[in-house]
Amino acid sequence: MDEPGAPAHDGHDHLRHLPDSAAPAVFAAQADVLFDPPAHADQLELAVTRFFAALSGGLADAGCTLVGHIKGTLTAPGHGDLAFHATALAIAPALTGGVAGHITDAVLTVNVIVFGVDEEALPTLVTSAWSRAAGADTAWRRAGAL
Amino acid sequence: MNVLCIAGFLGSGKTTVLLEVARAMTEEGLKLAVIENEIGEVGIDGGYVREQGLPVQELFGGCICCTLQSGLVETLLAVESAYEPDWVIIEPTGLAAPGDILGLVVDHCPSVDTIRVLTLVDAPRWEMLLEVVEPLVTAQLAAADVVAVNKVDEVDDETLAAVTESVRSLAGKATVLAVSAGTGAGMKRLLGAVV
Repeated sequence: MDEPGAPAHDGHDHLRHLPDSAAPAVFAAQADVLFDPPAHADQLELAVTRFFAALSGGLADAGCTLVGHIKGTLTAPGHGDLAFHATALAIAPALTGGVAGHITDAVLTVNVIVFGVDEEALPTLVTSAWSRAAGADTAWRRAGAL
Repeated sequence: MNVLCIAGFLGSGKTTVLLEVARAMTEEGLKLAVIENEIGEVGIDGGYVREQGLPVQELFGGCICCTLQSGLVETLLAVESAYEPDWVIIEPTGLAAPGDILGLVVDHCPSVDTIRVLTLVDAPRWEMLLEVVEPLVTAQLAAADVVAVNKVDEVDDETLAAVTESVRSLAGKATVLAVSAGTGAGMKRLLGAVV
């Protein structure tokens, strides 16, 4: 059994049981998003759909061979949560939940696991896709290849 | 305390099935706790499961079958102490090898009476998964007591027959069932097999 603080091995430290050649690229992060002017619920759904489309294009160009999952939530305090989930690039993500009213701030949480993509390139693919899709002031935290 | 590990590749429907199993166990008067594991340092499923009223402990930033083994054992013991559950349901990451989790629990958690492994198969993607990540998905089947071929409503009869035959050939002595967690088809039989 591993011990806390044990030295990490090279490569995919979060998946020691898989050889690096078979390990996926992983990106998980949260971001604070500010909408100015405030965004309506429909605009948030559109932003998520555009984000997925932009990310899908980027992943395909980067050589993605398999989507483990692309999932996340957009949480607007007091207005609700919009969750999205996909396991393929060619299909629009499933959306569940929803937000109501006009949103000024939200927390975006994303978790992307894909195969065939350079893990060092994945954070930029995700964050740039969101920037293009949302057009909102976004401050990423806990971001980076794991 | 008993442990049910719900394994299966990413996107195979583990969280959906977990909630159905938990609901059935709760209706039977059983006391539950859930351990959620995600590779990323930010979790999503744990919050969703917690919203359904279940006590959840989350393990982030690694896989409980390898890099977070000590975290799993510590969490399992902490859950036992805090909640005294009849069952702990573990949802590992979709990249986990459940056989390693099984061995870990058997070796380090002597108070666990029973551990069962339910492995989910994503029927629409099975052929693709065998092409890209065969060692992983076959290992997930090999460790299973019960295999649920999920999302059967999304494939035609010919595909379902081919997937089921492939799964049976890889699943050893495990019980293999066809279900759709989304529509509820086959779920009653599955719940009877694992609860």
